[in-house]
Amino acid sequence: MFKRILFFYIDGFKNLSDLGRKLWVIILIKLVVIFVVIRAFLMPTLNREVKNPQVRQQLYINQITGTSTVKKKKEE
Amino acid sequence: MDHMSMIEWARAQFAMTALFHFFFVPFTLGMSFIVAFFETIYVKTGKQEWKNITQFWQLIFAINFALGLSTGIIHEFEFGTNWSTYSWMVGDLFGAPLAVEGIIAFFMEATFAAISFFGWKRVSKGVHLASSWLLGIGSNLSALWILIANGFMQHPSNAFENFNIDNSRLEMTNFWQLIAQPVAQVKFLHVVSAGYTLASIFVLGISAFYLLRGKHVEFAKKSAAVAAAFGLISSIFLAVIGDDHAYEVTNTQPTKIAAAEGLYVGKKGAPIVAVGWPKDLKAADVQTNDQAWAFKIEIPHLLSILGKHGVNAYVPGLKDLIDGNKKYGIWPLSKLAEVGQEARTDLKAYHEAKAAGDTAAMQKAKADFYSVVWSDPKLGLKLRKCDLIGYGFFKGKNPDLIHPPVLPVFISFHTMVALGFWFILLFIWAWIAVVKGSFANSTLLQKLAVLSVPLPWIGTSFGWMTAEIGRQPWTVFGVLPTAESATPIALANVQATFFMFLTAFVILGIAELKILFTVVKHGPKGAH
Repeated sequence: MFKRILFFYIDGFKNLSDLGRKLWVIILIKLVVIFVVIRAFLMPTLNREVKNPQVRQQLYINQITGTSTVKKKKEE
Repeated sequence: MDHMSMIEWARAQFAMTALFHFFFVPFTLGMSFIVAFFETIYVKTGKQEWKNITQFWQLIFAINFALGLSTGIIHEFEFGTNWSTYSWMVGDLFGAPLAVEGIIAFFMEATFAAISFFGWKRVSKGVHLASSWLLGIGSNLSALWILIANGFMQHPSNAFENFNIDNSRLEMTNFWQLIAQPVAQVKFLHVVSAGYTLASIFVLGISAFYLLRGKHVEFAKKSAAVAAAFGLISSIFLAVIGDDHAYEVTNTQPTKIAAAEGLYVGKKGAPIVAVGWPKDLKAADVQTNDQAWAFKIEIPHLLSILGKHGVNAYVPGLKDLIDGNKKYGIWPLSKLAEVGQEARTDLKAYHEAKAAGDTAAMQKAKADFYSVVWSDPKLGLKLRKCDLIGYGFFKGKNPDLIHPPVLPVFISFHTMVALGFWFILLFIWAWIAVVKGSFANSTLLQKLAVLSVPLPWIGTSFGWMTAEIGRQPWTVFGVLPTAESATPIALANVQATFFMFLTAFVILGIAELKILFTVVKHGPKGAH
């Protein structure tokens, strides 16, 4: 069963039309650009800046209760 | 100031991603079923021409499917990078339907797309047909989960039933309550029927294009017949469910419908503006509704009928929602903000008491936070301080910040509705022509069908603009303001990634259109 499914996909990819190949190339380039180049290297997250989850939780609670210091720091 | 600019850039980035993603989504929703219809006819009749028709439209579907693939996931990491306070506060609730979409619907789509695209010579006719239908169902189920998540943002009913005071997050306690929200159900039906209408217009328009050029005539006539039938049913259903949607919005997001209709001063028997141009004034500067318009033509009572199901029912205007209206039990914003701020203070007191280990103070703060500020025993309704916490963020702020801008919401809503009516007319005309056998000879209808091809994309984009700009200034209506939802990260980061996504989307968009035009120009294999 597993073998049949595997060969189904292998056969499908082997017999792709030119347009099918072109679409797969576009998909792969898109995935690399969006998820590796832009997301992994260029989009900062608070998780990276504030590594301790307890501190991070307190930052969010402060923002909701109106005692945020992070926002003020960025505004300066 | 920088923080506000960052929020605007983050909103622009999210809007751009959403509009780009939605370039592909409705087409997938509709085309998956249209392809399944064609294949069903092929399996029933066994005729090669129907197989050719199915394979051509499946190729168009595959191009859209491949290029649109994973563009929606960008939203999910934008929630984390740009909107982390939002993700912190509601992520547990909001994330659940997104996770279900990923696990069930996405895998369903991936599995049956593979059989549908690769399996023509490898599985039986029946299995292939079942796969095509299941691909359509999987695509539509994806939309269901996304719209359940969006429905929660539009109307988070009983949100604070799920609030964990210790970490200040809304947590999942009742999954079925989340699924069963009426706003989400109506929104789902509205969006999928818009997708069916869009795909039907595409098929009708491309078929009309072939007829105008005298090419692939039999193929075009058969494709147009299916598109006209499916499009007529879909566009009528779209309007009917759109009416239900308007009713839900009027009763759950009164600022959105007031902005969409430029209604500043609430009234009984409120009209709908059929044609007009609002001046987009501040509510404080408006004394009468007429003052707010450069010109307008109204249909009397229609907003009351559609929005409240009563000819003379009262619909509140923006001024009522800011200044309050005692007669209709509407609290002024100042009072909502006062109580909301008290809730924030109670929450702060709870966390301070917790840090100090003062159990008695914690219990008092918690009791205050959940205390009832209004109730109606007859209707079994109650309002607690915590339910208004979102309004606390507006204390002391410009009251006009509490409603969305009138002009963009009015334009997007009314353009969407006008296009919806045009699609019904077009499909009625096309269906009559198909039944009479005159579609292939009606040059005017064919030209209009071709010209209408881009219109549903404009309509669906305006629909989302109405929904999302109209929800402002909230990310979660009444619970969390947009300005408080963002991550405090540097403006330059958001600007840089905005332009990178823009570049990626422009290139992908050009690739999609170029490949689609090439395939359409080449036409169906074996059709004459």
